[in-house]
Order: sequence, then C-alpha cells, then structure tokens
Amino acid sequence: MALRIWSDGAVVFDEANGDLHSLTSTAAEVLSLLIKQTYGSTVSLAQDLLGELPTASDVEMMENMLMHFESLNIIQRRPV
Amino acid sequence: MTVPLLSRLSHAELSLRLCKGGVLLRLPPFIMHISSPYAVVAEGLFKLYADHELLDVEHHFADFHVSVVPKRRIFKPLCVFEMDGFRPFTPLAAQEAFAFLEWGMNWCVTGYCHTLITIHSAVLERDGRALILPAPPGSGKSTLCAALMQHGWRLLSDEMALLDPFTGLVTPAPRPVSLKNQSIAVMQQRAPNAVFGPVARDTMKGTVAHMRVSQKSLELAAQPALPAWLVFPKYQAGSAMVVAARPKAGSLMQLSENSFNHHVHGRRGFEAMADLVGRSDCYDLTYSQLDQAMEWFDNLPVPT
Repeated sequence: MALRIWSDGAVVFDEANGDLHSLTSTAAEVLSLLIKQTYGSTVSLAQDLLGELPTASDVEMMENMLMHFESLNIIQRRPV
Repeated sequence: MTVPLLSRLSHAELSLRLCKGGVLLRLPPFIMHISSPYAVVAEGLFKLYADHELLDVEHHFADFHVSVVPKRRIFKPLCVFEMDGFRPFTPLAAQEAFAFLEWGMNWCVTGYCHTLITIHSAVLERDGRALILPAPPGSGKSTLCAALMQHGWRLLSDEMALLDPFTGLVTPAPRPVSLKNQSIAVMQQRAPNAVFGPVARDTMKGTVAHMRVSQKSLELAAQPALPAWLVFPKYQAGSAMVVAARPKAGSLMQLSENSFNHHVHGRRGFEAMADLVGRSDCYDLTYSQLDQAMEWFDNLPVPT
C-alpha cells in the first residue's frame, strides 16, 4: 500500500488490486499509523492519534473510520 | 547531415508510395509504417506531416505498421483501420479515412506503449516546464491546445501525456491537433497561416479537421519537459473566466481516471503520478474567451 498525503487530503494506492481511494487528512493520518504498526484495539489506536485518552465519541468516530477502511478492503481486522 | 523529410516527396509520389509498400515516418517518439490507397490519407499526410522525418523502409524498424484500407467500395463506401493486420474498430465512412488513421495511431500508442504512463490530456511547454490539460471531450481542450501552440507554447501532444515513471518527465509526441465542429473555424480565423488537413464531416465526433503542429514543437521533439501545471479546463459559452485552485488529492484521483495504464506500473505508476501532482500547481479553469485564457496561461508562475 502507498499513501500520498497533502494538506488538503490524501490518496491511498492499494497494490493488491490497483485501486486508488481519496481520503481526508485525518483518515490518512490514521492509515499511516496502521501501516506502521498493529493495534490491539480501537481505543489504543485513537489514543495514539489524539495523544490523550479518547472519549466514547472519539472511539465511535474511529470505529466508523475503520469500518470505512474495511469496506474499501484496505485493512483487515484479525481476531485477538 | 540533412534529415530527409516527407516534403521531399511530391503529392503524387506520396500517393503512389502509400498505395505500394507504404512510407516509414518518424512520429516522435515512435516510428510508424503507414500505407493506404485513399487520396484523403495522402492529402492529410502531405499537408500535415511534411516536416516529419521520412525513413528508409529497408533500414529501420517500425514500432507500428498501420493502414486504412477499403472495407466496401460500392453504395456506401467504408474503410477500416488495420494494425499489423488486426482490425480493432468497426468500419467508418471512406471520407473519414484520414481521421481514422489519426485515431488509430493514438490507439496504437495508448494500447501498446506501456514503458510510459499514458494520460489522456494535452501537453504544452513554456520555459522548460510542462502544462498538462486533462479533460473529457467537449471541454475545449484541443481548442485551447491549438490556441496556446499558435500563441508560442511548444506542443508536446494534443491527445496524451507520455509520462516517464522513472524520471517524471513528459516525452513529446507532437502530431497534428484534432479540432472539432466550431473549433475549426475559430482556429482558422485565429491562425490564418496555419495548415489544416482534410475535413471529415458527419463523424461520430461531428466535423473533424487536424491542424499542423508548429515547427518549433517538431524541432524540439527530443526534449522532454518536467510538469509544472495541471489545469482542468472547461469551455462554457458566455461564461466569465473562473479559476479555482484544485486540491491535490482530487487532482490525483482525476488524473488517474484519465490514465490509460498507470496500473500496469503498479506502485511506481502511482508514485510517478503522485509526484506529478505534487510538483504541479493544480487548477480548474472555466473560460469562454480564448484571449483571456491565453493571458492567464502566460502569467502562470512556475511552482517553487
């Protein structure tokens, strides 16, 4: 996977199928974190992004974003 | 050593050669072997390719062997385009034979040239930097392209940007500019000394005629250019000129829509197109007045 980020948005290239997807800057930041390392939970990912303990609303938004990534087939969740 | 040009052949000699054996032309960066019995093809090549290099058939390799040949001679005469004997398109009216040759040669490049990334767009150059104009049919891309060439910009291509995935440079492929419908009269009026090829009427694109490429564009055909501007033009009759900076991510997505083969290059293809967008200033341009648009293009600053 290759990611190109600009201040006004980002594009991810999925090497598995050649698809390109347009992302917001925030989504690109989250995807960058996921490319660098594996996270055990949505909470730990949100905490890494925000630099503080996330609220329930933050976690919900992060969960929605992860579901969007899954629908694009650019991430896969593995059972713990 | 003087390079032999197609203009060394008289119209009659060219017609004869096209019928018997064909001619080998350098259409940078490719070499095409062309044959056809149609007078309109000879007329088009004679008028529009006079300054292209004529090569010796015996001593050069052709990238593509193309021809436009009769499919049916009676009632409603039809012609068909061939590449190495393969007929990829349905036949067209015989009077469209030259336009068919032009479209067919474009198809050869987009379909078979995969060492370069081919992007459907016009490309011009000023001060060593390339302006890329990707746009769908009807956007006024070719009119803008012809007007800019007439205005002094160097034409790299009217139809496709040939992007080198390793250097990021655009390879020139200067060939005649394809004009449609009202654009033909507009350019004939703006450029009374320009040379136009045969007019094909009632084609699937309407009336089509090609305009000869500038001498400067052909002379510099070996010099690639680094992209600096990515402009998505839209002609809108009666509209005031509107320019809007375009987000890079959206520009890359649109550019990928216009690419024929970046997927062939995988990650390298993506990186090359992202680099192109990254180093270019990106705009949406809506215009109706060519002079106004020319002035805007002339004043485009080179990105830092």
